[in-house]
Amino acid sequence: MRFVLPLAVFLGLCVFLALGLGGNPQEVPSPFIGKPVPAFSLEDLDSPDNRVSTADYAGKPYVINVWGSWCPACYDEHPMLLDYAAQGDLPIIGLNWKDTRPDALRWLERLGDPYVANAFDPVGDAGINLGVYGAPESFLISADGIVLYKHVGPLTPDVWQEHFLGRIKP
Amino acid sequence: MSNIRPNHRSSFTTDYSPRAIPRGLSAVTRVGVLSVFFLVLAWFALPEAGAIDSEAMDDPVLQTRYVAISKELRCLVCQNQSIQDSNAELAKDLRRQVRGMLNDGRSDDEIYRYMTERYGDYVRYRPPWRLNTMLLQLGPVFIALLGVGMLWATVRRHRSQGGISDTELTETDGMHSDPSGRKGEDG
Repeated sequence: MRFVLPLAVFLGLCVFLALGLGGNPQEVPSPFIGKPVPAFSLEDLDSPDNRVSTADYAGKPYVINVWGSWCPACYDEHPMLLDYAAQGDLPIIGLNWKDTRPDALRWLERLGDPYVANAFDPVGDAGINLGVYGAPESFLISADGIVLYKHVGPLTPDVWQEHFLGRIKP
Repeated sequence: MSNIRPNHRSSFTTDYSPRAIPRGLSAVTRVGVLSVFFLVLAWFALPEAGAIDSEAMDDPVLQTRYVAISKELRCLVCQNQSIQDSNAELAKDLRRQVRGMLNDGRSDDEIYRYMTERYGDYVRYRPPWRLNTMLLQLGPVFIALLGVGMLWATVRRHRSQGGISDTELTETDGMHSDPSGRKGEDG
């Protein structure tokens, strides 16, 4: 009997440590899940006279992909974005974050352009408004403008299948 | 084998004798050398100080609030630093947001709310009282109470079950102090 209490305390500690070690501390859950996406209307990366607005894409589910030509993980992710764009299940809007226009355009020219449009956010305020803290990050937005899912880091086929396509297909 | 001599002083032994200090340097010179050394160190720290200075706010009241707020906000890419301490790009951007909102006349609460709405409670070093932070907030108090309770129970058990109490200690002292059996004769 005298071992019961220490054992219980030990097992309790194990549970907390397992929970603590199991999670990825670099991944901060987005408080926007289940809430309307913060609207933005930014200069178009391709043509400064046009604007790219979340409002223009309402009515159908879409993805916002945060990227920058300075971001190595975005380079790794890029071929997959091209694949997903070719499959055509979800339009991908780019949020070109803290980048310069020439660098970003050269990147798209060289690697291919998976985006239906690119919003240009050189200072980074629009990204912060979305709760972005690094690149790449991808948001799945529902037809009525609700954030369904956020993925931090490069998209993988598993994540795309399960969390992006899986959430918009019945 | 032949080159190991019994009384050979290894050249690797550090010589701590006063001779280790070059004779040519007087105390004054050494202070001078040290001063130059620390001046050079200070010079390396200058760019850092400059970076923070360039972000200072004109209004001293706002500046105080700015520093206080940015010390309370966690930099999300360098998670054990506040945005005040960190030089990460994101920390700079978040500091700029804080300054912008202060200039717009927003209250501290509004700024914290703005950050929490975007980055979650995690962005704050002092998480608010919520149902899911109760364990965090009350855990230490609970554990401290548990410890005090266990200490109290242990002491009580020792007192009641054959433990040595103060009176017992005096009595046994009395019995053993005089093995010849003259106990009580003094009284």
